[in-house]
Formats: sequence, structure tokens, C-alpha cells
Amino acid sequence: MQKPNEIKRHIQAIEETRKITNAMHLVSSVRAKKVIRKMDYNRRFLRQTESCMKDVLIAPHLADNRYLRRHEHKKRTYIVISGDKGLAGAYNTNVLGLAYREITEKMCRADHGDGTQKHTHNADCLLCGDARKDLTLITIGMMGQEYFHSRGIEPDEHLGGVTQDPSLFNARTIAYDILERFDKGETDQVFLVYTPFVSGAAGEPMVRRILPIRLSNYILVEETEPAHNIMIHPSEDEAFEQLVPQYLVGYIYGALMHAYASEHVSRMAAMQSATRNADEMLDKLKLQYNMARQAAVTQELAEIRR
Amino acid sequence: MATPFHLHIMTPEREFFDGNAEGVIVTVPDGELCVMAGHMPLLTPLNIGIIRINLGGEWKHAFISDGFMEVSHKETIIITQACEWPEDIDAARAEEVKRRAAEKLRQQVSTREYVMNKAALARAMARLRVKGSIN
Repeated sequence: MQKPNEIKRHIQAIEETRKITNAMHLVSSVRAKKVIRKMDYNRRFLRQTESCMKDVLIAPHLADNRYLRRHEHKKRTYIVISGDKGLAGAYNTNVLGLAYREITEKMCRADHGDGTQKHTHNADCLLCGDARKDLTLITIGMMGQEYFHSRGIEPDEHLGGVTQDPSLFNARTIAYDILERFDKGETDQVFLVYTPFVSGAAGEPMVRRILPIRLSNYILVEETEPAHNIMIHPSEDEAFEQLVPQYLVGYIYGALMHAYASEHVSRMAAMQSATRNADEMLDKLKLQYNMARQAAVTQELAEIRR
Repeated sequence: MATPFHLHIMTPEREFFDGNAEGVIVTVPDGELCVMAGHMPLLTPLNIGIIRINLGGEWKHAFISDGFMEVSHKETIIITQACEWPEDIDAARAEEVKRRAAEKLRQQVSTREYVMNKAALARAMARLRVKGSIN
């Protein structure tokens, strides 16, 4: 049996840890609440923008706009949103694992041309040949940067500090950056990988294409006006050019908030169970301590009597 | 008194206006446009500038950033990056942005930066104009 002093030190150590996990739980719950309040409105904003988008998309005169154009889809950009630190359960692992699977699968197939050659899930495959040139990887969150770095895929750009601050300004910077890449032809398709926040908990991480725009993405969206009714001024193309950035900024802003809320809700749950485990352990240790103390007293008494 | 219609102005961050108005004047790429009740369905991009809203006969001015407007039979929706009443505008900040953007415009920069600086300058000047119109 351990000496009472040793157990006492153990108890103190766990109490310290418990204080930290409990504090992290509280901080995360406050942060999650703050952003969840804004998300409801963002959802309405996006629905409205989407429905206006659809009005233009189904208009008959929308010509071959650059945001709609089908490319060969060889050059892909992935924007991966993860956390800046761990201690959030499976949050980072889930979203990064999905991003990694998606990138290796898609990029290797593109690389192996006819698709007859089966690729293996390894990092080298992405680095070989021309595949790497066609991939632009933008990581948001330190965990993502480290994850891809350790797998031999160096992120082309890392946006630090954005995970902690899901602001409109950051969303705008990201949106204009990818629009510029798209316009310059550096990328043909842009994907966003993030964890949506679904009914109070972190949902399944998802990959969503944000450029180019496809009417098929808006099948479920209700149009505001029947298509033949509406006049689009000065032209469909010009209206669409203005709509796309608006939509992208709104969508990225929403995604940043979703990821933020998911991260903090995951951390809340992880820290809550850590606190609970600490409590259980403390109960056991306190019992052990009392027993050890009692044993020591009994022994001392027995020795005196002798 | 003109017939009111439902006007809804949204920015990604907040609902700027949601209620009845009797008219709204916005700047579109080829001039100014006034929408009143019963206007035909229309979708148009908006320029950075001033938006004027007729509330019970009184014209209210506000700053509006780039965006678009959709007029339908049901309501008129304006979606924009930013929209601010004069009292919410930080004049000192706008002045600072104006000065910086104007200075950067004089330097040789890439096309993208040129476009962005020009937009920043336009926003700053529109903000100051809105602010100045009430003071």
C-alpha cells in the first residue's frame, strides 16, 4: 500500500488538473454560446442569397459566365478548417481525416490519368509527378497545418488566428483570395472542408464545393420569383458577378462560425468528461488515503502497546 | 402618402432593416434607381454609396457597401456587405481609411490592389458623405 503522503500528493495533482479542465469547459461553453447566437441569422442570410442566386441561375440569358464554367477540374483548392489546439475530443481528427482522404483519393486519381492504376493511400503519391502542382492546400488552424506537414503535404498557405476569430473580415479576406486565384486560373475548383454545427453538437465533417457554382447545388432552394417574371439589370452576367462574391463571403463566414461552434462544443464535452473522470479518481484516492492513514495510526498504536 | 412595401436589408453579420418603407433610392451601375410599391420584379447589383429610405414621408440616409437588390412582388431584399446609419459611422476611421487608400492609389501596385484600394476609398468617401449629410 502507498504511503499516505504519496497519495496526498497524487490527490493534489489531480485537483490541479481538474481545475484546468473545468475552466476550459466553462470557457468553451461561453465561446460556443456567443457564436451560436449569430449563426441563426447567418443561416437566414444564406438562404436569402441562395434564393436570389437561383433566380439568376435559371434565367435564360446567363451566358458562359466564368463562375459557372466547367474546366477539366484538374486544379483543386482545398480549404481545411480545423482547431488551433487539441483537447477537443475527435473534432480535429475527424475533419482532418476526411480532408486527407478526400485529397489523396481525388488527387491521385487525377494523377493516374486513365484511372486503371490503383493508388495507395500514402502521402508520397501526392508528391509524385504533377499532382502537387494541381493542389492548393489552405489550412486554417494550427492542427491542420501540423497534420498535413507530418504527412508530407506542405500547406501552400496557412491562415493563422482565423480559427479563434470567425469574423466577417476574415471571411472576406479568404473569399477575395480564392476569387483571385480562380480568376487567374490557378485553380478550377475550390472546396471547403469543415465541421458543420448540427442541432447543438458537432456534426459529421463535410466537403463542400464553393466554386464553380452549379445549379444542381440549388435544387432545393426556392426561387423568389418565377424566372420569366423577373428583369435582371443591367445584364445577367453583371448581376451574377456581384452575387457570387456576396454569396462566398456569407458562406465562408457561416462555415467559420460552424467550425468554431463545433470545436468549442466538442471541447466542452471532452473537458466535461475529463472533469468527471478526475472527480471519480479523487473519490477513489481519498478513500485510499483515509485507509492508509487509518492503517498507519492503527499500526502506531499497536507498536506503542507492545 | 405612398403605399408602403416590405423592405429587407441584410448584411452577413446583422439584419440592418426589416420593415415597411414607402420608397428606397439606391445607386446601381448606371445611375440611381427608386423603388416604390408595385415595382416590377428586378434584380440588380448595387454600387457603394448612399441608400435613401422613405420612412413615413421622411427620407433617411445610410451608407451602403457593394451588394445587390432583388425586387419581387412579395418584398424588396437588399443584400450587402455593410450598411450603416450615420450615427453608427466612425468618421475618424473612415477619414483614416480614405487617407491611406488615396496614398496607396498613388503608388504603383498590382491590379488587384488597385481595385481593392479604389473600393476602400469609395467606401470611406461614401461613409463620410453620409455622416456629413446630417451634421
